[in-house]
Amino acid sequence: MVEILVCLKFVPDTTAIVRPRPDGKTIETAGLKFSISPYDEFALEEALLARDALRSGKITAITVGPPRNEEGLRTALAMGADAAVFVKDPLLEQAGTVYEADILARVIKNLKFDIIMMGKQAIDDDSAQVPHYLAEHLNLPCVSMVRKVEIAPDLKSTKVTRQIEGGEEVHQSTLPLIVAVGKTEHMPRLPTLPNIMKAKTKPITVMTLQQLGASPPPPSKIMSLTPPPARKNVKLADGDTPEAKVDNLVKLLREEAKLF
Amino acid sequence: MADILILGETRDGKLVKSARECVCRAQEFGKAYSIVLLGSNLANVANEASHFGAEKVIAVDNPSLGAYSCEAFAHAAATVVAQERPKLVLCGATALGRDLVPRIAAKSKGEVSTDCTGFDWDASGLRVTRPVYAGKLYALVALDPNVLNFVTLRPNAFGTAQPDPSKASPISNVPVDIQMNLLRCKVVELRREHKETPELTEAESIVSCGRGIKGPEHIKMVVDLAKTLNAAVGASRAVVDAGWIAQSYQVGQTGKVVSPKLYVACSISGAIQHLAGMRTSKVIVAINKDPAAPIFKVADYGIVGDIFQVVPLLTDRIRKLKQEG
Amino acid sequence: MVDFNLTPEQQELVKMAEKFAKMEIAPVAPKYDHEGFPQEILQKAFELGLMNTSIPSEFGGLGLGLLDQALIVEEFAAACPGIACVVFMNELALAPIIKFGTQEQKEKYLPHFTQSPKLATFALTEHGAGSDIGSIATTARKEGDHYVLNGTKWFISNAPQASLHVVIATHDPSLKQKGLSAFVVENNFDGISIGKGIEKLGMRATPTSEIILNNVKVPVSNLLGAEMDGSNIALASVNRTKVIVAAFGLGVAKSALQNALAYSMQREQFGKPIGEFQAIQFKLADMAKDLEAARMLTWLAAWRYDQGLPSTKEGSMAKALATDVAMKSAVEAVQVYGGYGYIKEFPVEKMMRDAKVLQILEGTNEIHRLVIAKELIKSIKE
Repeated sequence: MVEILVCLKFVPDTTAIVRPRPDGKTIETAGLKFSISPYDEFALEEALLARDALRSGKITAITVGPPRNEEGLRTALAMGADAAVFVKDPLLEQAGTVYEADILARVIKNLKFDIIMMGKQAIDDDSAQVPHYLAEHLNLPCVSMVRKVEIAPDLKSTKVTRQIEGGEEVHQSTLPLIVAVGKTEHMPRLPTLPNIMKAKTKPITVMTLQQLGASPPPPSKIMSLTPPPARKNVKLADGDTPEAKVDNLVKLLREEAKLF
Repeated sequence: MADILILGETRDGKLVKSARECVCRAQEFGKAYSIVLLGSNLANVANEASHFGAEKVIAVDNPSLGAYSCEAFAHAAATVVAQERPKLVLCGATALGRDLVPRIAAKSKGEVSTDCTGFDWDASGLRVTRPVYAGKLYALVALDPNVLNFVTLRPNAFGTAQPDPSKASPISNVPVDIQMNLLRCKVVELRREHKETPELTEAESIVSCGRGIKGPEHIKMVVDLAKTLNAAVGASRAVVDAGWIAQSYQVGQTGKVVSPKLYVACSISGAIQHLAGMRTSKVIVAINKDPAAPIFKVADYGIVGDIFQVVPLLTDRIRKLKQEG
Repeated sequence: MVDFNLTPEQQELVKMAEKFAKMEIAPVAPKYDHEGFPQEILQKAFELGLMNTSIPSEFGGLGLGLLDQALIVEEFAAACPGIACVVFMNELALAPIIKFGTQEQKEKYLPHFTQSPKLATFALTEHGAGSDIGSIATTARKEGDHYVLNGTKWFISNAPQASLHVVIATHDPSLKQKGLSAFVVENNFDGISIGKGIEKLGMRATPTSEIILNNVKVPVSNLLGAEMDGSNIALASVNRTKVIVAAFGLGVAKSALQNALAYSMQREQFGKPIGEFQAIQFKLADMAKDLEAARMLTWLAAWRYDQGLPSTKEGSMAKALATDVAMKSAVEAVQVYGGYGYIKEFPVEKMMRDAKVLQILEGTNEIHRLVIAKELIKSIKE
């Protein structure tokens, strides 16, 4: 029976309007809608599909964060995960990626698993590093920007398809493996009503940083958070001839807008 | 030993553009930098790299590095990092950069700043600017000078270095022991995708046309521009209603709502129904004969002109630019 | 003490229903407003367990409470009340069987609806009997081991697609309301025919038509409750489902507010977004406060019903208020959109068309006001 761990982050929803607090170093979270980071959701869907394909399996959702993350775990359980582990501490609100990978490693080294799946990046810090740091801690291979995972029925190997510029790389790997998932072909499923009701009975193991022997997270290095510059008035590419205008436009798009 | 080590990503035997962007930034800092190349049969690309003003070019030329493997490449790179002891490692935030750099950093006990759109190194230290919250905000981060910093630069966000054939850096071949039988994960197949136009709602760029294209026979002109930009094709409701293109291409209130990086509106007036479908695009370029067209109120860049003249010229210009690479 | 928080399960329910409504229903709402039957939505909603939620678990349902249902319905109705009605009509149609059916009747008919997305109708209304159910003219004549039903039902939602009908008929028209009985009538019984679709102003995704009963033989075992129980059965069923109709109103009102708010900050006139002018701000504020009040009243009615407390008064209050708020908000949303509000390319004219019937069906809001007044007067009469 395959054992899959899915690491989730609970982040401001993609539709949420995020604003910096007056200190400029963190965002205002009051009244914000939070949800499972989208690529983590894709990863969970891949885990559910892998379990379907292999006919049996146990999926454990893991999250490291402040108390609100429990809602994300409940959604994961409602989607079909079997159990959850929650390292809970309000201080984790500002934890950086290196620290997070360390905490995950402390939890996971005591768990049995064939494969670890998570999103290639969380859409709050967009740093795309946790999978690799975790892989180094656990001495495992890791493949990122994955769009397809095919686990062999004997659970000894897996084929992983990764998105690269202009195409795809297909990797063959032993298990255990860490897979960092990007956008896949499968839309994450909606929890069914019966599964939402069943989720109540599934276990969530809560742990503290102290239990893991971890010191609190170091302070953030962010000096300021600023919105992207507001749209200015249109810059018309001028010139006496259409050729001149086009040349000027291309110059603007290249040098100013940095589009190509 | 140089302060900066640049991971020189190569493809098809040449340095990729983002590697040259790293070189350009390092040059702008005025600090010494080395370039490390990982792969096999590196003689030609090492020669190319030697003309970019580096203190030295380090070539880890090993048949085991012929195909990408994170484990093998990270081991090789980490070995070089340990030998060279730079203060900073630079790479483009490409598919390879994003996969490899964090692993090297983890091995080297360093810290990574991913996908930076701004990067400064002066007397007050190393600072990066990078998009967070899916680009809704930009974070200015002060890097810790006491750790080994790895920075990946967002492709196309910085200037590109040009080679100087008159300069030649020394090339040193560094052997690294890679035990292939110990690798657990290997590339077994490489697939190139056929250049189909991307789906409208997922496309990074869109070229859209309005009623001013005058007829279905002129849609090809728009498609050609889209191809040079690797963009999807869109249309306003007027074009769809006229029967010149299928409804699936419609951008707008009753069509698709899109938010690409680049939206080029060719002869689209900018009626509110259309704007509802594309106003959150990152960069909007408008080409329209009418300088009072409402589209110019939301566009970032534009040309007042006849699309039948401007669009083919633009297509040609961009195509030439891309060929120059 | 009062706790306004939803349970974790209810929060997940709302999240899921909202996502489904946004991803699946909203994109096709304009299409089904025009023509066609939303079969694929019915199928998907069924697969997610969203249909027939009040059927008890022993018959394969989820036995959800009224508040849980109201939460789901609000999200669906915000995307399209017509499509929501197709999916949730069974809650009204099957209520008589769930509340008054014998074990045999429940075992015979309810699993049919939990095994596949089948539809049922609540066949009460006739051309001559709307608010006045005492004027029902469809007759039921007992003949040995069966009843023979004759008459025409009108304005029946989902009739063209239904496999089962709960029909209210009279044994004796002179007895008015007291002469009514409720019957379970399978669509394949001889003598039933479905009239052609009725073209409506709004809720156009819901197929509506006449049901013509011509000497339809209904076995005695298909009588619900006892003879002459029909009025009680009908009223008790509506007593539950009027809260669902209130939730429909909440959905439309919410959608009207969200759209008007977004538009008011995009549309510029006289140099600024119209949302910065007081006249528009007052409209938005009224929409918001009325929606919140209607929602709280709806939740109160649903909660009371689920607790087994008397909820007739609160249910009628919720239905009347929420649907009046829906209509008012929809009209104001069109006003905020100005000329654009009047054209089909923008979403608000549909809301106005959809909202109107909510003030009429399942007890007109006038009737509900009478119900409230009756409860008030009862409370002071000795």
